[in-house]
Amino acid sequence: MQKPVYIVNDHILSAIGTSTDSNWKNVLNEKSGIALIDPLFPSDQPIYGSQVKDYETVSTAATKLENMFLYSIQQVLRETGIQSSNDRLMLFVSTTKGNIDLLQNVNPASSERVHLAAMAAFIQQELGLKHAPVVVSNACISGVLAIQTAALYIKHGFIDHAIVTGGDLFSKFTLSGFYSFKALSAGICKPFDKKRDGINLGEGIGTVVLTQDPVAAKGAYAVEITGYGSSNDANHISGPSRDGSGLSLAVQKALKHTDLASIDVINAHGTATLYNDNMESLAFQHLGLSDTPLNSLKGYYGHTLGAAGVLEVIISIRSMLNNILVKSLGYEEQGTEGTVNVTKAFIKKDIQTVLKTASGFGGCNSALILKKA
Amino acid sequence: MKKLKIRNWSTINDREVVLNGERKLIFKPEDHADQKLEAAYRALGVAYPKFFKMDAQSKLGWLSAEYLAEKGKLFEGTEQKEVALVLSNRKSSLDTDEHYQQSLTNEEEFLPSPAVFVYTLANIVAGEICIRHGIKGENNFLISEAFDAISLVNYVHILFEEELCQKCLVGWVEAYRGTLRSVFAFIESTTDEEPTMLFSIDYLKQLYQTSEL
Repeated sequence: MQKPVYIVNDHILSAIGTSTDSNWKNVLNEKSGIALIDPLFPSDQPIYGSQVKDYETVSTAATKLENMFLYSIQQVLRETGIQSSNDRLMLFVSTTKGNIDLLQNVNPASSERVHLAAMAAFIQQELGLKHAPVVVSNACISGVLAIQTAALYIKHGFIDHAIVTGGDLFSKFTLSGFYSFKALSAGICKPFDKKRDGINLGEGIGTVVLTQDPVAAKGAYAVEITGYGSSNDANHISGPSRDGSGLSLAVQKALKHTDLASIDVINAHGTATLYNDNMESLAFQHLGLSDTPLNSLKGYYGHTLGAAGVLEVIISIRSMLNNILVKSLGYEEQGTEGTVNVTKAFIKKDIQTVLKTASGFGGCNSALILKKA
Repeated sequence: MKKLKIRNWSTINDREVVLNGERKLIFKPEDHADQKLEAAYRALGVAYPKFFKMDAQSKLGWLSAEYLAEKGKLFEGTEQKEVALVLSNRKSSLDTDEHYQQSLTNEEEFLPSPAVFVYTLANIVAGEICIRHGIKGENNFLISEAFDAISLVNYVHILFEEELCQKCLVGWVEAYRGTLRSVFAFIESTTDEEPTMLFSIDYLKQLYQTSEL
């Protein structure tokens, strides 16, 4: 008999706060973490992004990203009833590039930790966790996929509890790559808007605690993960499928136990590139979700890569717990081929069920269904 | 729990290409990795010009899947969305990361290449394989410090149990600084009491060990 899996605690470290509370408050105040940044390379356009400047040095041996991970995980461990030494607890790390800054700034003591698994092992040791972490590195769906992976491990009895943490740096490496793709916005990004012109990159950490026993975990709340699925477009490595059919497949799988009509809000990927948002709009229209309120949180955080899926799940949980639809910052006018109902203001609404999606390079898509328990 | 078997498997290393235990190709020892990958491609006798745009790791993964495909088809009679792809390695995309990083060091001629950058993600090789074979099901890329048969076997079993897939291509793929190593297996459920190649932790470990130089 498979038991339900719940998310019961969380933490966000980002440009707009060092706790979930401060992040949520700033989101409600429409505060974006995205700002004009000092140039990291010669550029023919201004570059905007969101950077974490306020973080604690938890370990002097740790890199910036590791300190951010450690801080965030420590915050959830402090609140939960699960000991870090618990034999039935496992850490899942979502990241695309990890300590990518070590490639240019070689410190012999930490250079080995440019390897994602070595970085995860360092975090494991610093925290005194029993098991080797599972590292998911699947482009922009890593965070959502890491939550799915951890939920499946729990559901199938391999573990009882999981900490899923997602994080990436704001780096010259990644920024220059998106710049070379001409994918960066010249201002603050405008997901799903007619005038959207590209993404902003961001940095941060999102951490959630998953368990089948919210009481033992001293859950701050209990939100059940009732559906999940991933897919591949099998179409192009750097562009989404035009018609959104790949994303539709992932959502349909996630909806296996959920009635389409019961979805109260969609937290989309919404990177604010022309192609991504268009693709998503066509997928949601095709699925019959054109009227369902939809938002993207990229206007607050930029695209935080490995953190994005986890961080956006956490804000969506706050949205559920407070019964407030979150305004999709930067959106004014419909600018996609498919019809979607983008949320233009904060609105009080009873929210029981959230659909979270993500899509990324390599043609990958993923979806999660979260339900208030 | 569903019983899973390995339908067929392939390994590629710096010495040879092996399919189901049978040596398909021996590389010239003096060749460098790019030449070996091209030799493996030529030996297949298929035309896929996109192959030459790929980085070494994507070429390696693409070849590993291609050798498993009989008459060019990796699977038949199963819907595309029911086929999963689970890959793993240690280095992520570090080979191309280092290459791309070099292009960032010259501030005066700052010309990062999108064609290189796109390969600086672990799962791009998965995208290439999905495009080639029309795989539209579950994707995951797991990074581990060493070959982790336990995680791979467990995760693939979960995907079958959850009915998230009916078939699954699972593999280890790593190309780094001229060293190649891959182990791929095509997994399906079976009703055989004692399948010859049971998809087990021990069997997958053995396959990995056979690819040791």
